[in-house]
Amino acid sequence: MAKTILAVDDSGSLRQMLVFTLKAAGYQVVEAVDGRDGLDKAIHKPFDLVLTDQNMPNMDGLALIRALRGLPSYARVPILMLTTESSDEMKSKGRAAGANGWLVKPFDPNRLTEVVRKVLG
Amino acid sequence: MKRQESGVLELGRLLTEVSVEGIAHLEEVQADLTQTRLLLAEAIARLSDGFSALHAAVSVQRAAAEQLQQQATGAGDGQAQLREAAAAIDTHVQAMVTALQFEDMTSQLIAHAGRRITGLQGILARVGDGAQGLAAGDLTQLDTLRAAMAAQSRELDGSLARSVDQRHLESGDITLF
Repeated sequence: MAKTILAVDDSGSLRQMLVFTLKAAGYQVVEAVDGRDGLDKAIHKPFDLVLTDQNMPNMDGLALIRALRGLPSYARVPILMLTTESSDEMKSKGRAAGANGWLVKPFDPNRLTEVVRKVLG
Repeated sequence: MKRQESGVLELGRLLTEVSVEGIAHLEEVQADLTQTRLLLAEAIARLSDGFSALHAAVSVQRAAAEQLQQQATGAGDGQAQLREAAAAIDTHVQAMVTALQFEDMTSQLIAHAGRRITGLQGILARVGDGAQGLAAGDLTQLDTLRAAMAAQSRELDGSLARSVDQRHLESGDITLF
């Protein structure tokens, strides 16, 4: 059975490219438009991986990661940040929040797929 | 003394005009940015949809061509050509997926510019308020105005962290923790 990925990003075009790439690699993808939407969906359905943007309205990526890590069911689920932010300071915040990796946009489909395969084991 | 008072009055009027004119021009810039954002959003929606449809059509065509090739006798050269074409298509698709992410970054930059313009309008409005005091001959307003402008400008800078430093559409770094 295909693993399911939650893709959280407020940019519709970015989500479209994520869905295209991850579906082509054999994964099921559920989209969320911001952190709050992502958290709602994650609470109601288990995901194998969460891929989230940082700068979003309502709830940003770091807040989403902290909220997810507070849920027992997401204590060990891999979470990757995919964002335009590239500073070491932000990466440190991501790591402290509980992210498993930090990917700077734009993403290359092959490299993204490799990383997803790696973190999903 | 009268000359100095007259100068203060003139300065007050000038700053009032700068404030009014500046705010009006920035409203136009804001409208242009909004229009740019809308056009970009429509363009990326069409490009992304077109790209997905084109890719789906090419995939169907590729599968059909491979099937025909397998049925044909002595199809060695044709199969090699098909494999080369498929590899070339994959390379172009990867490049397009990376390039089509431009709207995510440009929309953030436009939003960032829009917030700075709104902040600048606030500063100019503050200048306009202070200038009315100057125009009424109150010279003490000058220092108050200067301090208020500096504080508002610092506050604006502090609230506008830059989140997009990319200058090219090349794939970014990956760090696994």
